[in-house]
Amino acid sequence: MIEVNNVSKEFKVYTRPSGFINTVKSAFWREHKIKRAVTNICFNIEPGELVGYVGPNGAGKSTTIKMLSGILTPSAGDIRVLGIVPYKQRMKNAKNIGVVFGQRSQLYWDLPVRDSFVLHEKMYDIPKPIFKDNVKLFTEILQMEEFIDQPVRQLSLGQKMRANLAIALLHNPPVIYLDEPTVGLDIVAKAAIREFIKEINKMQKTTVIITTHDMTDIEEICQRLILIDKGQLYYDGDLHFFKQQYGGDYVITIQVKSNSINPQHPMLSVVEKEANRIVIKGNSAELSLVDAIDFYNRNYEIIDIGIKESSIESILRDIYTGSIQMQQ
Amino acid sequence: MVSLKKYSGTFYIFLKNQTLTKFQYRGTLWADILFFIFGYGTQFYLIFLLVGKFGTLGGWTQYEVMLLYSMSILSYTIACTFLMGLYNRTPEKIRNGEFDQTLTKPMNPLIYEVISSFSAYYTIHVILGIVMVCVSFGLLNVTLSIGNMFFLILVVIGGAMIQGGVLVLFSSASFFLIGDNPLVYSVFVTLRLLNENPISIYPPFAQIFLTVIMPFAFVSFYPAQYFLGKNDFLMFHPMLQYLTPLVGLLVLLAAAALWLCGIKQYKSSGN
Repeated sequence: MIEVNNVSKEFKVYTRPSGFINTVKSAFWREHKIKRAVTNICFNIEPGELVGYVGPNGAGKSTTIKMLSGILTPSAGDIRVLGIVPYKQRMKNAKNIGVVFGQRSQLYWDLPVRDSFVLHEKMYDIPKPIFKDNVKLFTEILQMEEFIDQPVRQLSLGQKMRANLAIALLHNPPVIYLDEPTVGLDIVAKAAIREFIKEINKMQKTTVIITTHDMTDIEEICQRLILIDKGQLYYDGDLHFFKQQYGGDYVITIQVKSNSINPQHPMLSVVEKEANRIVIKGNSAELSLVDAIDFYNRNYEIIDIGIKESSIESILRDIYTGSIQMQQ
Repeated sequence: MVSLKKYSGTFYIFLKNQTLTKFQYRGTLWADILFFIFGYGTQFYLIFLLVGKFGTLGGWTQYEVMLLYSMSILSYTIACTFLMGLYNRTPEKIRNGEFDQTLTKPMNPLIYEVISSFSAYYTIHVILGIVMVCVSFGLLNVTLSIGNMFFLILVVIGGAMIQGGVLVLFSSASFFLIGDNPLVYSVFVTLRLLNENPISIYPPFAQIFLTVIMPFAFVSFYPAQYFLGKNDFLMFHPMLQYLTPLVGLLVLLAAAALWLCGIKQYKSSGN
């Protein structure tokens, strides 16, 4: 459905000269550097997949989304979305996709939300019954009744984002790109948006690509994870497998009745130790969490226990900061 | 046909909403009309006084120059109705990356920009422009035959396409020039003023420039020659009197093609 083959995108960046003489000189001749936003990226996405596209700021996520939606032309490589080359057949591609940019709004400032919807109905030539059904359905799931007739400028960020999501899906696009759809939203709004995305995916088999810095979005919505950093692809595959492979660390805090904890398991390392309290660290590849707890349970009478497993967020933090080395 | 329905439907909604918003601000609306009457009216009167004082301007009487001026204004206001939004707002969108939205719409980006920023209230200027042209013909005591009336409409549309084409051309500059470039934009306003006088008063290079390179002479000078039966043809062929609609079409199409080419230069902006 979405094919990305060896895609690169370069930008010319003009260096800003320092000093007066150099600034004057730059009016006639400027030096530029080639900045590679994305380098040799390949992936294929099947219909109905929910894909999380993650990476630190400046990794090339938005650039990829912009190439997929036809806004930018790749410097090299080949992109096809439902068999269409997005930047060549921009209008045809636009009918197949829905786009939400978290930082920008698709709505028209002065118009009530409902009028923006009608505008999209005309623009996308949506058949009347489909339009009516969708407006009704989306208003319900996204709880938009209270603000659908208000001008956009009066809406809160969360309301605007819900309306943006709805408008992007009005024409039943088979593919939807969400670029940071939950940025700046409160917990309730985030939950509503996640629910909606999952619901639409279930009902209409919509293919979803979502970029976000909130890993809860990824854990709740996606099955597949694509990780890029500095424009290069680092991981592409199942989310659970990713967690297992790069995570699997756990930290257990155990408090026991006796006054000393002595025997220690060779697979576990001690992080902290007091008289009757111990913090240990292990990895499920070496010793499963259950076995670790069982080991202490057999030897002591446990009063209290606390468990922390590594989350996608902590794994990614370790990857971004370089604590975990990834093979490409 | 389907796409015609799509464009007209979208246009209608934009038009409706813009008109509604505009008429909510009645004060601004009236200020605008007054500005037009004072601004252009003063200029109109000034031509009457000055040219009257000196007798003629390059062999053109005061009323003839007033016709020249009002034809130029009328076609300019028509061009502005359609393209002032494109000229004013699109460069800003291109600079701050908002243009992304336009490129994800199932529409021709240029047409989308034009209809989404159509300045409906400019039609009031158009009406005032029509009044000015009628007044000029009245003062000149020229009665137009049906055929000539029809040709006048074509000429005005052609003139609007020439001036509109130049607006599109300058708006496309923002694809190629990254920073603000206010100079580019004020050039248009200055150049446009040249066609408010008979171009026969200018030195030959300016006449060539206004005929061949930036064909403002077709907006009012050549067609006015036709309506007034003038024959100060200078170095060019008398046929030019009839070419305004064709030149307009060519200028507008060329400018639109360049604008659409400019999209390839669009770099969006990071967020």
